Amino acid sequence: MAVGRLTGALALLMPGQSAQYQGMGTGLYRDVPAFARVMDELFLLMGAAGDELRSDWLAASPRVSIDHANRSQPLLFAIDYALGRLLLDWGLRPTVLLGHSIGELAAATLAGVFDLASAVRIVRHRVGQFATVPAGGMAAVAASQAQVQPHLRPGVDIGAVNAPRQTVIAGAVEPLRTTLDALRCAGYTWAPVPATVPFHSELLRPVVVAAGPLLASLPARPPQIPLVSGYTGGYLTDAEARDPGYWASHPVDPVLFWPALTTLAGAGPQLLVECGPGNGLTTLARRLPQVRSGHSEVLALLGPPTDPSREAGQLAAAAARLGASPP
Amino acid sequence: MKQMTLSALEQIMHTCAGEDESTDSFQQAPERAFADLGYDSLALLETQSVIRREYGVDLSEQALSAAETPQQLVDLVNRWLSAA
Repeated sequence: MAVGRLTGALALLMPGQSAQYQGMGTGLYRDVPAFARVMDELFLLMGAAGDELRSDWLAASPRVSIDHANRSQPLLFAIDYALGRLLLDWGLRPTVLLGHSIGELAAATLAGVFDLASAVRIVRHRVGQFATVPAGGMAAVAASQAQVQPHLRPGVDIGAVNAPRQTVIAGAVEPLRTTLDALRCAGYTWAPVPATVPFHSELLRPVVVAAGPLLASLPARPPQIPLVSGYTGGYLTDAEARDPGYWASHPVDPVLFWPALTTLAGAGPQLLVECGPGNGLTTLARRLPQVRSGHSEVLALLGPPTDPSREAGQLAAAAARLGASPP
Repeated sequence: MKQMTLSALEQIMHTCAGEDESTDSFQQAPERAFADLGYDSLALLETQSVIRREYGVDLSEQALSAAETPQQLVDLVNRWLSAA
């Protein structure tokens, strides 16, 4: 495989729930001081909860599973954002950002829609509210949204459209189970998504309502770097960026990742870089006709989940391919 | 005896992913990792069920995860077919 230097407009893809894995980013925290500084800044803004999050994240045997929303969500936000800051510090200038679910909040923060303190307040508030949501789960179905829709039981909703034939559903435990049974009987393949909260289902409506006043009180500015919205599939408008309702309703709105990715890829040849743990979004991006044909390329900063001791090396290799020279 | 070819596998996986354009990337890069070809674990799971249906080969999840490239998966299926 080519290991040469990559060029072209830089697009950052920032992952969300399902990208998390035990130990993600901890090697960078130990070996890359610039990354650790940003992570510490974020933990500090989280207060006492930040101390606990940090120690559990670094622990060999964490008290709370990484798949639990109060671990996965703040950590994915923090790692996505910290990696983005690192790229900016290296002098790289992304031309567009696209985040998946909580990754969109990281992207918006990197783009200056929210200041860091405000973004951390949004994440903390949201995670606090998840405790009030009935237990549920998520699953990825190898089928289109139209194929899945008729099989959804009440209490189960479309959570994400990740690819033409990859649709994520979310809901309470029991109706999710019967929906998945029905899908299996209809001949569809599915796999569970590691999540303890049915993200992007109607069950999260109370979280949206509760976030309203907080979001209305926080300053929001138009993005300094163009952002493709995972909720409209188009470029985020200045009005949307300033609309508290747009941000508040993320937990119930389905993530239209594939439509958004298609919009992004349509802007011309570019380099799509996964700015967060894992390589899930770049794997999906490899299915884009623009990538299949070689007009656009993809690169995951960290690559597939690996041992933390190898993360700094992975990142250095990615930096070299991007032509960046970390200070 | 029925055997599986790289292009047959690619056709299956293209359909699983919902792609309309056809390419011949499996033949060009038979040893590229599935993730580098755009196929994640869900696409592989569905491929497993199509292979069971169309070839009568029931691959275990363990066997499936050991096959990391198109060539390895084709070889695995063909060994099974030859032994049957």
